[in-house]
Amino acid sequence: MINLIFAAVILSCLMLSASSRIKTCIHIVAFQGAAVSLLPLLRHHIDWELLILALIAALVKTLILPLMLFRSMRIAGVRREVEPLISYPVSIAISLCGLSFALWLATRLQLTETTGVSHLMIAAPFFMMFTGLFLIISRTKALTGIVGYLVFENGIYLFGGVLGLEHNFIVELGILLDVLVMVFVSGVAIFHINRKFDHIDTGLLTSLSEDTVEGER
Amino acid sequence: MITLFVVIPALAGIFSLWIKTTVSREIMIMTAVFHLLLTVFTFIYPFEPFYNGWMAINPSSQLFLLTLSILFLLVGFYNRDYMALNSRVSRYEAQQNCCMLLMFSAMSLVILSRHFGVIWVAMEATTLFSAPLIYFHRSHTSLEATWKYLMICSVGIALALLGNMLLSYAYRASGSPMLIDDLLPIAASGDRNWIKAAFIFFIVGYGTKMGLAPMHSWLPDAYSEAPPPVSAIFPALMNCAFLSVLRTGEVCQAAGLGEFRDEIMLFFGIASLLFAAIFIIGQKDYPRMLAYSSVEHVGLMSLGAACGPIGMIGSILHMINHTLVKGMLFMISGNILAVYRSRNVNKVGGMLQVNPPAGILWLAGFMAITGLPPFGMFISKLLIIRGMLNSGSYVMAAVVLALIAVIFVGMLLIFIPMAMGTPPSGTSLKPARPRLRWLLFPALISGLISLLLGIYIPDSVYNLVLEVSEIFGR
Repeated sequence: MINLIFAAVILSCLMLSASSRIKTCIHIVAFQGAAVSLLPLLRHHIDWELLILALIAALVKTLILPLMLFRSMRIAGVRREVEPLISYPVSIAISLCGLSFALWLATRLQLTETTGVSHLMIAAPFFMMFTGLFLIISRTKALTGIVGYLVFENGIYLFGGVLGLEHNFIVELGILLDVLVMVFVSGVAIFHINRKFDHIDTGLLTSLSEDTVEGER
Repeated sequence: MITLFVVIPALAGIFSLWIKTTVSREIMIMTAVFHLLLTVFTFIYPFEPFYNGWMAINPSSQLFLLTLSILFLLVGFYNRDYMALNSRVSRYEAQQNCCMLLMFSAMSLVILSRHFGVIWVAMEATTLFSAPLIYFHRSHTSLEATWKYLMICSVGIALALLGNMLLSYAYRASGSPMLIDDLLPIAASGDRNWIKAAFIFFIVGYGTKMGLAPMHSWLPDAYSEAPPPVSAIFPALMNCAFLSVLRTGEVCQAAGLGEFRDEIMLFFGIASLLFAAIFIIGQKDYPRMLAYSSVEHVGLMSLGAACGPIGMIGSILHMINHTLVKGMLFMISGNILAVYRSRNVNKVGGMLQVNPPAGILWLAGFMAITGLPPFGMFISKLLIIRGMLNSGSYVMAAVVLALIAVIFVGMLLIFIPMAMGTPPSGTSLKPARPRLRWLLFPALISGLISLLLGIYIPDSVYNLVLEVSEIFGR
């Protein structure tokens, strides 16, 4: 059962790097958010703190954040990633390389004995982090950048869950709040980018460099 | 009591959002004064730790708080006069004051917190509160800088979160304590490989925020696009990141990985000096030049922290001096910007003729930032080099000296024509209004403190620096 969820998470990451529709991407992030935040509930002993935390995380990651992203999407009026810096077939190939790297890393880290989890479960968070960073680098739309950040953050969250680390209630809430504010602030930034430039193509945000000085742009 | 450091600036920030008049500028100054008094009070009356020691006062937090509140107070005065150059209160100003105060609160939390999780949360909060500040001018380029800052720093700090997890995994046998005071006694029992991995993620993550090369790419854009009062605050932000790196280094050291920590910090230090030297030469934009100079100085701090006890003293002193001098230079740069209306070095010339007080201060700032005697930075740089020689890395010391020399020449070629030279023809210069002179006052104070630190360091300050360097560099 658990392995199945992890396989689904890995497949969803592959879908992310292959999907051109931003709406699909946001749906996938919502699914991953649910998987990542509810996973601690599959542990043997659950206390109230863990339960409340998982529910709050699920609420934020599957409902609030995607809704905020959809709002930014509507405001910016984008539907799909038209020109990724790296084409979709190549993206999938790179993702597969990333996946094999994650699996290799998982076998190398010798975490299975101490935590009692399978290699697949250790590879999944690494692959999520990889996918997140890959999305940030390879896609031009600002919105996909935030999606990438969220995938990356979910990967880290999942890593903590897989290692079975003790969650501290206040700190976890603080982290969730930070992510929430991050998406809010970047949503505002997207709104402004859209208004100023008539696009949210970060690939074209290149006016700041060493060669240009104010007044010569 | 200790929570007041965080709560008061946050409340003041939220409060100033509702006040759309010049009063909000005064609120900022009052908050800074209160913060400074509270900091001074900690020396007289020891504050109780808060919430099982999650927030506590120790010498390191006292020193960093003192630096922060002095800089914030000076910038508060500067901000008031700088904003008064605009005839009316712009509608963005309330937001700016609010974000600055919230950032002030988050920075205080980073300094006071003893829990790695809380440190992370507060560091990310400083990023989020400072991002809108960069967008103050509402221009295309400032938006670009904001976006880069937000993405690079958020991803960077997310890596530090991974560091947190690795660290808590390393101490899983002892119940993964994340409080520094709980960690230090049992540090040696941790899994060494995981602590190493955690430290690498910490230094990459917090190093992004600190401006260590090669993670510094957001820094020149953000520094040059932000309004001068905000740029003047940024050195304090770097100090917070530096403190976080030092704290993780403290755990490393206690776990018997001191050498490993030193190697990593040396690497990033040298890389920062190298990048700064390459980009300062021939730089045409003076705020960018100051930004690269910050990369140089965080590099030096990182180097000093890696070079034994003497290097650590130098590093801590350097942190104080850099904060003061960089704050001073950014405050003057706001003045230059108001007179010349350009960030281009070639369009600024003859400051000594056009605006003599600013020109003199600009030259003094040059001497201070490049570490010429009698300014404080001379002593701190000297101590860092001494630390290197003492630890036997002669080649390293030679390389560092050569890079410092290159940076010195690069900055000389920018500062001197700006201050001396002739005013550029064909540019309409705004006459130096009397108000502009007032703008220089906080910069002057800042420079004078740095000068004082070069001539005579009061015993109490020196003892504090010694205590702090003993904490981090046992």
